[in-house]
Amino acid sequence: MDISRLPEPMRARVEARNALSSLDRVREFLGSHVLDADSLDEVRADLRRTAHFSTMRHRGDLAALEAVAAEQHAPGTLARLVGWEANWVLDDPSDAGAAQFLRELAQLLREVIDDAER
Amino acid sequence: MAEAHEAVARIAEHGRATPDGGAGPRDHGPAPQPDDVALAEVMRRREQLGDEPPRFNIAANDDAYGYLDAHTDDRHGPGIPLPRVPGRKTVEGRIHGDWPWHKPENWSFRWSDPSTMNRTVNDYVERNWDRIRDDLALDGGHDGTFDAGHRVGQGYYNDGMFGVGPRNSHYAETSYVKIRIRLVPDSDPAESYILTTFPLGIM
Repeated sequence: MDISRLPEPMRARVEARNALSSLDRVREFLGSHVLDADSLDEVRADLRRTAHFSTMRHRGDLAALEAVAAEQHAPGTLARLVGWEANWVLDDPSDAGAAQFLRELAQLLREVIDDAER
Repeated sequence: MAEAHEAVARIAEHGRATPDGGAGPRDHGPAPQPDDVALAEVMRRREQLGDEPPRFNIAANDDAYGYLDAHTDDRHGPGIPLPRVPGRKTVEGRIHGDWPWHKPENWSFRWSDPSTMNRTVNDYVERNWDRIRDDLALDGGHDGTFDAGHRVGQGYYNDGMFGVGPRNSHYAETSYVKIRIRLVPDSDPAESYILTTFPLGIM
């Protein structure tokens, strides 16, 4: 979608989200779709329902997930992000375990986008 | 508002401007571009959602939209007992992943009472409707986090953070709230519901 044609408040919201750092964008994604979910199936169902309307936000979230999982971070950053802020308890609660979880979420989101745009 | 009406009217009544400057009626102009269609759908949903914020009753909302995973009462309802009791669903038991919770969590909170829950949700929706409506129209969902300014719920957190070390639970109260509002897929006119809303253990 050409966001320049959206009314100002909507355009500003999209631009503000696009200006977030990858880490903050992933933080927002986790807070929107992962926090409080009972399972990854529930995460997938919510992503599918919103993808029904638009995949614009999902595509930006996917790029941020891929970037954060691939980047180096200060020790404890990803473990806290997933385990505390997203409240998702992992069998491996380390930074490495959290990075793997983010890669799994990226794959899940990639599949949702592919299905929606097929 | 005028800008929104103008955008809807422009997309609905005219095709995309042609290279020679024309923008005739859709029947005679160029076929709408995918961008035009998507934008028109966004603006149509926005119009359908209206200027007046909806009012929600969480119990009725969860009954009506449970098939779309609405689950506030089920996971954060004021009727869920707080302290851990073996064999019962409790707020504290979620920290430990006790049956019937599906997995452990590092913090688990519930609403204090139904009137606080409904009033807090409706106050938020009324104060933020323009933004909520834009998000719903654009993305099909709105997510908000806010401080209600007074106690809204209580629960427990695990201070062996990230699951490192033995799990434990500590009682706490909070004024912070998370809310997730979604559009019902294929609803026409567009219809919103509360996917979930709960007191937040952290900010």
